[in-house]
Amino acid sequence: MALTPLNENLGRTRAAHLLRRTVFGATQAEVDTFAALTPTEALTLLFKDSLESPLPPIDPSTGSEWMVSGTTDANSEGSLLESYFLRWHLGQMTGGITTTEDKLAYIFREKLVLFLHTHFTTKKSTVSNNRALYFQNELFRKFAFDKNLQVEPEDPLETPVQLNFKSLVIKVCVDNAMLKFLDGRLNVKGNPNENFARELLELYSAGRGLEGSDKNSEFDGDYGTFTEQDVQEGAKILSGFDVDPNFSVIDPDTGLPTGRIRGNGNIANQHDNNTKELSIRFNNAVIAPNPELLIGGEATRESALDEIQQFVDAIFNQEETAKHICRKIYRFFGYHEITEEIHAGIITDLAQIFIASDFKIQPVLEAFFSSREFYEGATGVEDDVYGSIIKSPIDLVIGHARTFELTLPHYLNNPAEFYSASYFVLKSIVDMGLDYYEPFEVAGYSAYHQYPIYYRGWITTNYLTQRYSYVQKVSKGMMDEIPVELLAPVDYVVKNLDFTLASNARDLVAEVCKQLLSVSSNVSFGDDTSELTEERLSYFLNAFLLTFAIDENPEEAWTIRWTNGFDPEVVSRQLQDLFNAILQAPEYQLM
Amino acid sequence: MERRKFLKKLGFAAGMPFALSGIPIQILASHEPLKNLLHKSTNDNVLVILQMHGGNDSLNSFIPIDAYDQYYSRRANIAIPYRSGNRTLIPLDSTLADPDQVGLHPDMIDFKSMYDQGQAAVYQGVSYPKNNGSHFRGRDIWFMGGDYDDYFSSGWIGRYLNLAYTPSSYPDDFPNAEMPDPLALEMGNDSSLVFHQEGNIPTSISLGNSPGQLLDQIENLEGFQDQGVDPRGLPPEFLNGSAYKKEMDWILGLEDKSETYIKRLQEIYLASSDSSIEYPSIYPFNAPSNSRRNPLSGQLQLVSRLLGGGIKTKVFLVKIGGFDSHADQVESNDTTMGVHATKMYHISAALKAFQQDLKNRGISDKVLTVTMSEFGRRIGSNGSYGTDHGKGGSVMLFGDKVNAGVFGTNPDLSKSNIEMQFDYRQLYSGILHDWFGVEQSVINQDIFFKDFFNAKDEDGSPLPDVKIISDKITGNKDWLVERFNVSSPFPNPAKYYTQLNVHSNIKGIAQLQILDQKGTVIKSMKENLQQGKTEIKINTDFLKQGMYYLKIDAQNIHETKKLVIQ
Repeated sequence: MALTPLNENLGRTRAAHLLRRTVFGATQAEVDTFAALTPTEALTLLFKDSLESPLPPIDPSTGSEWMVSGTTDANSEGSLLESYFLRWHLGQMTGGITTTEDKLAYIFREKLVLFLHTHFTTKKSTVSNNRALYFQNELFRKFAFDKNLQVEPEDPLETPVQLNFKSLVIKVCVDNAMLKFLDGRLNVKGNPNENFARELLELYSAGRGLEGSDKNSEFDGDYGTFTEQDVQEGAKILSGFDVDPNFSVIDPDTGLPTGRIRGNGNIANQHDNNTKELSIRFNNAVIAPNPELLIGGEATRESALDEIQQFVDAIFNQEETAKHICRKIYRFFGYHEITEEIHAGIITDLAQIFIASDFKIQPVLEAFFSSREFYEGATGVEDDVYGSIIKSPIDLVIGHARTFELTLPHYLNNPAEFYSASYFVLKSIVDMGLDYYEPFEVAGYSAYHQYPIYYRGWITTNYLTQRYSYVQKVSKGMMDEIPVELLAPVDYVVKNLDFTLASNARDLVAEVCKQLLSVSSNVSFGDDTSELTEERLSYFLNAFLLTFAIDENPEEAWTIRWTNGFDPEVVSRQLQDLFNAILQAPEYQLM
Repeated sequence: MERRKFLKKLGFAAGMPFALSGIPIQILASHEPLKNLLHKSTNDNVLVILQMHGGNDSLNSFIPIDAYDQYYSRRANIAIPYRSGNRTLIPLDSTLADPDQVGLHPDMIDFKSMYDQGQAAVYQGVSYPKNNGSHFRGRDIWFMGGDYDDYFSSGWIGRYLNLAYTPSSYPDDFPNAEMPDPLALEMGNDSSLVFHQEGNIPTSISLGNSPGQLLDQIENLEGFQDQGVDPRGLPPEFLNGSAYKKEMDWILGLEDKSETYIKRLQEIYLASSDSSIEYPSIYPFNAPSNSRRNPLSGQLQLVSRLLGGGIKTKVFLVKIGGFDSHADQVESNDTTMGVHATKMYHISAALKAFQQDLKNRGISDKVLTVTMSEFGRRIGSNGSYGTDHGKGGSVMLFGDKVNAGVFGTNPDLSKSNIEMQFDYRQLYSGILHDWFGVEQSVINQDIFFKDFFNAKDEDGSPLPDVKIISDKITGNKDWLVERFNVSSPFPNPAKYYTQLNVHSNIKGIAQLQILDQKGTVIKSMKENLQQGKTEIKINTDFLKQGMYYLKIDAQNIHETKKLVIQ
């Protein structure tokens, strides 16, 4: 199975699917807009280079930001600021305070930030510095749309330097949060600390090959994609950096703070300046300092970064590295199961695109989202990916917010209320099993790496109950004590369903299922090809009409009430019952 | 069953027990009809696996004494002191040959006391050929029970449980009269590979940390009705084969199995009593604040209580995290303190309490505990007061029936890594055979797919045999007597003096009394005991001719000897 370009209008089913996977879900108006576009046209609405970064969070104690300017005694304490940062990020996923025309691209960028966070993971308890977390989060944002990302040369006649995923890997190697998280700051000449070097190879770049297949390991310490030698030599290459507690060292490419060198002035005297040799897995590449970047034969920041560049180049020269990154993308946006056939087809195709586009991520995503394989595949239902991902707690919460147009309080103008409401969101996703910025292990949240179950791990009895409970509470328009704006079921129906159609109870149930559930291209009563069974639809119909048992002839009574506007209280309660039943269902856990 | 009822049941079941223990729990087990005939487990023995997440630095748990200087030179910044210092290593067993002698981390005092009672064993250099330095891959290998290049999607316990209950297949035939309980229970919200079956769900449920809240939520959930309709969400048949259907099956399968087991767990829990002993809760010394709480006590207390209530679950998995000690494994100003020290304390102290709890419930001879960690750490330390990923490590076993001792010898400290002396599957094969009574041929053919009862290393040389369970029917008396004993007095008959040789496996004080034939104490004295042999000379020139008794009391020693004065 290889990629087959899709050159026709998306239609409603594919449009809704694309929007669920990229922007957590959508309003019906957005689905309708996308339905009339080809994938290429649709993607221009998702990738926008011109977006500004969101303004940083506000500390209610001071009324101003602290990420850029730093804290004083007047600020809230660190753990609270850290929590504000997390809530701020969740707020950005709902669209922050963007204008309508950029909103989808804005949210998609946050989804990519989330993806990069699941890849280059971190733990807040280890980093223990909310500014470092914020700047790392910003770094991911800078690299989210990377197709046209470049460094403008000082001389306009020179060719700009392209920035790509490899550049991001290099930035991450010396990122303050990462230097803390995986002990890079302790890795010095003569006393290497291998923690980061190992995870760089195993998790962030070369990977471990296709899970569940033979790795062709040929000798002791060989993992098929890298070896123990590469870990040890890599630690030396990466040595000599330290966390910059003042965030005063700025990376000219990104304008963001980065780690500092250990040493005196320009001399990186804790960097191991010897020649390093990688294993046969990287063609025995030799990494040596560039003499032009040394000062008096001694290492400098530039020479150390140049060695990292050489190292990253060597890692990405191995095709398996591109495949590892593309498997991550496929699992995050497509489906978790990668058979040998998919690996030889789709994954290899994506990897070729990744390599051919100079290791930029955006072209890979564009190709994937514009291929038939991202949607219904070629034949039957076997290669269909609709509804194949169990939503993460964030997908569920943000997706629900998107569909019901939930608006959080303004995070700049009304930070106190914003934090109260978003605290409820944050706490809810933790209760559902996603301890945000605190994955249990250094490989990150297990849903994104644990073979063979992947995101099936999101579902346990307890977590499922928490999911149902969340939807139910928020449907009432409250987040704990804080009222939030969102469409009540009756408002939703008025806005998104044809008035006459809604007067027929069965048609209404079928249409709401089509709009809210992921496998719903054909849903109707009395139809063998309906993707929800007759019994299942009857269950929803009963939930809708029979909860109060006040009507002798419930379907007819609904039509009369709806058409004539009788007894609006009963109408809204009945619709509430229907939406509860649909949203608190296994089907709604899938996207 | 209607959804609402299902969820309500769950809530009631979940509410009580876990409010007390506060530990999320998973039910896991598995399935798959088997072709091979297999032998059911005929005993009611239980295995507890204690997972140490991150790779334990076993060289600071079990410190080589004979090669101490070399140990020190390889890891001076984290070495546990031996000859001087406030807290020094605890020599474990003076009866061992010199090269095999180990010292325990000073916070493993409870390990020492279990060992002296014949309730603990340690295997040195446990590994597998081409040991993998990845946390994730390493853990998967230990759980799946395969080689470095195997990729099973089932775990060794999952395969054992399959075989043990054949022809019943999971989940369809469970629970049943023979096995009313979950086949395995995992503490926490994970579902580890060790319990997986090929291509099937690990039937897992979790009860979370706030059961009261859970109960309230379930009570208040709306929208579930039972009207002869489908309240669950079975997809239509034409979607068979789709990814959507597979994921739906996962969710629905999990809901179904959880429902039946939760009620049962609650019954067992309530039918059982609280522990009669206190488990350790806080590390007693200074340490980083998030390392001080004992994370095992609650888990083991829950296991003990369920076992006390008669649960038939065969395997439990309990966990302790935080072993990935690349940095700050020890305090820079005191290598006996720090994060790793707290782990050693938590494990030793919680296991000791667990053993005692089980003993009070009369079931301590039914439970065997084995530790696992994905790899050992490097022999040399790094510059950050820590250690990087290594290869081999030590495995500990605990239990009344365990074949106690130190097996294997100290690692070759001139190497970078701890080399293999035992393949980890030798230990697991031994557990399945000695403890669960599974036939060797079955273990070889259907669980590990190789013969680890005649294991060889990579060069084809045989590895030493492993004997997990002690033969001794009378308990640990022989074990104790080997390590704690008193010689007959000599000379005897005596005139001016007599002498006793006391062997004790711990330093301490012995109380000596000379009694006459009526039992009257003529003289009392105290003597310091060394670890190993202590010669005690007793002056007798003030005694009249006649028969006397010498009474000696010390920890693990209570003996009376006849003495004739001429």
